[in-house]
Amino acid sequence: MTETKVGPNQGRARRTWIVLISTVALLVALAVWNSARMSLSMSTAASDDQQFAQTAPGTNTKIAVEIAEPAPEGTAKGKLLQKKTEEIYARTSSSVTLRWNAQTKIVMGKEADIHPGAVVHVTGTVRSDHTIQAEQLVILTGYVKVQ
Amino acid sequence: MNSFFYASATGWIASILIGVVALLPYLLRRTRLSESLGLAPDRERSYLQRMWPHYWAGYLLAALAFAHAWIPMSAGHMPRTSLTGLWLATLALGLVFLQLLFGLFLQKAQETRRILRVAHFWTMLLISVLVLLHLGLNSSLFSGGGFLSHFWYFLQSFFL
Repeated sequence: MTETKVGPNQGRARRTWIVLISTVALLVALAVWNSARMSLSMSTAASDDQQFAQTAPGTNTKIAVEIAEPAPEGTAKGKLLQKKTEEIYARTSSSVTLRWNAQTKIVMGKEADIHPGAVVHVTGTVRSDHTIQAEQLVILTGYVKVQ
Repeated sequence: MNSFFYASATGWIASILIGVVALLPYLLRRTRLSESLGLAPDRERSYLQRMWPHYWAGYLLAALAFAHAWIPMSAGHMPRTSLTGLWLATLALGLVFLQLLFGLFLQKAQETRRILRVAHFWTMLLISVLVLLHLGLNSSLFSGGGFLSHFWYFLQSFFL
């Protein structure tokens, strides 16, 4: 049986290559994970008029809204959207009022992107007046089509 | 949201590959960096033969960069984002293909080798700068809309 001798320099080189390749693999895994995380944060639970109307105050909810009219001081009114496919949403007759503040995380855009016609995925809590206190707003404008 | 995932993932992997492709030649020949890391080049093979990981990483980078551009375009809709950033990215993509040509010519060239190496090096730097600007202006990772957008608008309002 033949035995391959590995010198100290070759051994060190091999270890360095393993570290370098592992670092690149880790970075690639992080990139894929981050992309998947962002992609998942953009997908919404299907909501229709009835489901939304029956949501009790204090409940955490995830909905998609098409902004109709922005109001000052971190509020906006819009129409509830119902998810048809990953990229197609349908308007419903339910009106939704969103509230957000400095603690609200705005993803894939900035506050200025919450304007009439904008499509926003909202993660938040239903208040007693049936408005939504947003914890996270994901700007979906351009990524989805509204019918 | 599949198109978002694929566009995002290919873009980030291509960005990582830019660093890898740029670093490999310094690791595969005798440089201060390769010696300090203990990566003494194998003298049995020529430098150009040892460079095969650089070539293949370069081809993969070009394919991923093309896919990254193609996916959102083929989806038929684009998010609200910086047009300047997209133009810079388009220029970077063109330079990636030019860089491939420089690389292919460098494998054969004898007389023009020095000029081609200089061009290859400066094109690599230019691609890196353009990609960093593209990330700053268009990536959703940097403060949602792109932190460089504000800086860019400031420059435009200051100079124009």
